[in-house]
This record gives sequence, structure tokens and C-alpha cells, in this order.
Amino acid sequence: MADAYELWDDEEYEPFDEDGALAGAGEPSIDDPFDTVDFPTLRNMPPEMNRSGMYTPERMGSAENAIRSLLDHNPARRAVLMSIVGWCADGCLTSELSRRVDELQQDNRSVYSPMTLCRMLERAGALVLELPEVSTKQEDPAHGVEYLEIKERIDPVWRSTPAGLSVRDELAQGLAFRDLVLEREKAYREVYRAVMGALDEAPRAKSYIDELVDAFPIVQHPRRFGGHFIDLLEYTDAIEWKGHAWHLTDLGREMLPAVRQDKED
Amino acid sequence: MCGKAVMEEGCVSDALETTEIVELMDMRARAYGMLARLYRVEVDDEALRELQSMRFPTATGNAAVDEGYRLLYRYLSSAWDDSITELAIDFVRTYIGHGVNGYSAAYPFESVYTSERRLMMQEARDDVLRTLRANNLKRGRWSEGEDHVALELEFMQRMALRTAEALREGGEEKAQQAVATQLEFAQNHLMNWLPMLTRDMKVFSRTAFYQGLAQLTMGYVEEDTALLAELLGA
Repeated sequence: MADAYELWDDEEYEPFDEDGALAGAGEPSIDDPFDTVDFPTLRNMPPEMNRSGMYTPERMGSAENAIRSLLDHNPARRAVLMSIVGWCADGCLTSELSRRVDELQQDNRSVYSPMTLCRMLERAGALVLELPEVSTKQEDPAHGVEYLEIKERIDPVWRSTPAGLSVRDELAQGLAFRDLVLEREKAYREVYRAVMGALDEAPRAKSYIDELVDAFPIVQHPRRFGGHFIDLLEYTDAIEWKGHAWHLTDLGREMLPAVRQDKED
Repeated sequence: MCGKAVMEEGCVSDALETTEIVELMDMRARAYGMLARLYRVEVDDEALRELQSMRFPTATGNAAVDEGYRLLYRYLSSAWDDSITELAIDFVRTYIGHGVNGYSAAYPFESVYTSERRLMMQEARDDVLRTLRANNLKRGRWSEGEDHVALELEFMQRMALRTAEALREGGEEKAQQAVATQLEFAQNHLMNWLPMLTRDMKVFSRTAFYQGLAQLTMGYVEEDTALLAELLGA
């Protein structure tokens, strides 16, 4: 075990050159471009400048509302966010969670790291972080000096809250799909039926869906393109992008009878 | 620990004592190197792992050093992957901050703390540059003012290494001169503004890590300056 003074033999970093040549540093400027004594500083910043998270139970009224708002404003991350909540239902180690998130997002890369996504869910009240107890036991005196040392890096556990699981269950039952696709987009039912039916047969590229949608007279006035239907179906978790094609999700497959039922009605 | 005036001419002939001083200088170089690294850039995964493999002395005899180690240990013992992001945020909050008035962060440049209008690239930077030139040093890839705390700490590291090297080669006079240079630099530069910088670090940082680093730096440089003075019999 190294002590504090046995670190940082940093051979790569070399701020000083020692070749005898002198630095060609320019003369320092004596200009004073700013006279900014009236600007506030962090020390005297008014409290309202300390921003808290956007989608928090405090701001949104409840954890459920905060989670729904978070999902509404991050439609491209809905699937992974809800998957995280599902994986953490019984607690999940950070290392395992990171691996699963990276795997899930391999066809849908995000600038958010797995832990950033978890922090977003934590702020919204969907997850809690459980840090393991850390032993602070003092080592036996070695060479007359007492030390503290860290045995290993901790691997905290993320656990879903009841609010997180409740919102996840709502979505898993297709509430958003029923509301948006079956109710608000009722006029386009036959288009959705065709798109979902085609995706049920096989994954399809966007160009295929565009052509399929264009064949329906109803999309001519007002003009609707394939992207509109893809957006709404993805937003309601009925389809997902994977392996360079759109796939019907399990939820989408579950919703198929409802779409077809309507035709029979 | 070496005895008083051990660096004075004629006193380094004792081989054991010379070896001790060489070890001491190497140890000082590593300590200054570690501190310089932590001020230079944010902690990355490799650095975090290194830090977590450290031992943290509990009773060094300097209260600031002990408190610094205690805070670092407290943070690092519960640090995990996400702590790298947290430390990066705190690094920016502590050393860069928001605002342009010169009072919004613990600015890591000596000029800010020693010039009347808290500006960079002032007299202190010129003086550090002169010291570097006088010691046949120049900045390599460094692209900021030479009075950055990381570079000043790195200067101490470099001079400690030179001292050890000179002693290994039997150059006692050269070693003594290098120690004198370090003492002068510590007194005229580091000790001149580190109390203010580390006080501001405690104001602006929010993690125990940077709070601890502030304490450790102040305590260590304070102790080291006294040690250098003792070595020279000053």
C-alpha cells in the first residue's frame, strides 16, 4: 500500500522544460479592461440564484408529477429511464446498472452517462441511492504512525421508489398509447393499424413507413408524413429504434388488438 | 528527520544523514507533485484510484495537515464512479466560479491575491518567471500564467528533486543552494498567498475533498517551510 508520498510520479506531464532555453513569454499586460466591482459574487448571491433541479417533487407537487414531467421533456430517453426504474425495483448495484444502460443504449446513444440518467431520476423522486456503510476503523500503528486507509471502492445500490414504480406501471399498461393514439389520433386509426401491423411482421426502415403512410388519403390534408406516426408511436413506447430499423415493442404488440378491435367495431 | 544545520558545509559528510536527506527530498518531491496534480486539473478515474490507495496519517503533529487528511479520507472512503463528475463540478466551482469581478472563486493565481485590483499576470507572475529563468527552467506545455499554484508547487517538486540529485552526486554546495532557493520561494511566494487561496477554497468548495485539499496544502507548505529553514540553520 502506498502512502501519501508515493504517488504521482507523473512522467508524462512536464510543465517545465529544462533544456536551458529561456521561455519566450510575452510581457504581461498592465491594462485593466474591467472595472466590475458592482457585479455580485457567489458570496453575496441572492438565495433565489441557487437553482434546484427542474423536475423535482417540490417544484412539481409530487414525485409522480415530477417523473411524468421528466419523461415528457426527455422523450428520447423514456425507454431507458423506465428500464432503469424497472431494474432497480429490488435494488441494483451501480456497476451492474451502468452495464445494462450502456447495453440498452447501444442503438440510441446519449450524451447522458448512465449515472446522469440515474441522478435525473433521483431528483425526480423515482430512485434513491443507498451508500453502503464505510468502516472508519483506524489501522494499527505502523512504524509509530497511525493511518486510515480505504479497503475498496464502494459500489452503491440504486433502488426504485414506490412513485417511480407506479409511473412505470402506468406506462407499461399503455395509458399514454390509449390516450394519444386511440383517443386523440382517432382519425388516423387505420394508418396506425397499418404501420403497427407492418412492424409486427418485420422491422422496417423509415422509408418503408413513409411510403406506407403516403398511400392513405387522410394524410394528404392536412399533410402528415411517416415521421409524425413514428414520433407518436415511439413517444407512447409502442415502437423502438434498434439495429437500423423500427421494431414493435412488447407494449406495441399488446396494443395491437386494441387497434384492430376498433376496425371490427 | 535531519538535524539542525545538517545542510551546512562540512555537515553532510555523514553518509547516513545524507541518505536521510535524499529520502526526505524525494518524499517532498512526491508530496509537492501530488499537490500540484490536484490543483492542475480535475480528478479523473486513475487519480481517484490512486488517491483511494493512499494511507491517511492521523497524527502528523500539524493540525491543518491532520484535518486535511481526515477530510480527504472522509470523502474518498465513500467515493465511487460518480464522484469524478462531482469533483469536476466542484473544481470548476472552486477555481473558476461565476462572475468576472475577481471575488467569485478561489483563483489559483498568485497575482490575483497580491495585486491591488486582483488581476492576473501582475508582479507576482513576473517574479515567478524570473525565478524560473534564474533556475534554468521554462514552461513546457503550460499555457497559463507561471504564478498558478500548480506550477509553483511543481517548482518546489523540481527543486527538491534537484537537491536529492545533487546530494547523490556529492554536490553539497549545489544541494544547499537548491534548498535555499526553495526556502526563499516558499517564503516569498507560496506562504505569501496560500493562506488567502486556501481560505477561499474553503468558502467556495462544497465537497470535503477540496476542503481537505485546502487544509492539507496550507499545513504541508507551512511545515515544509519550517523544515527548510531548519535544514539551513536559518
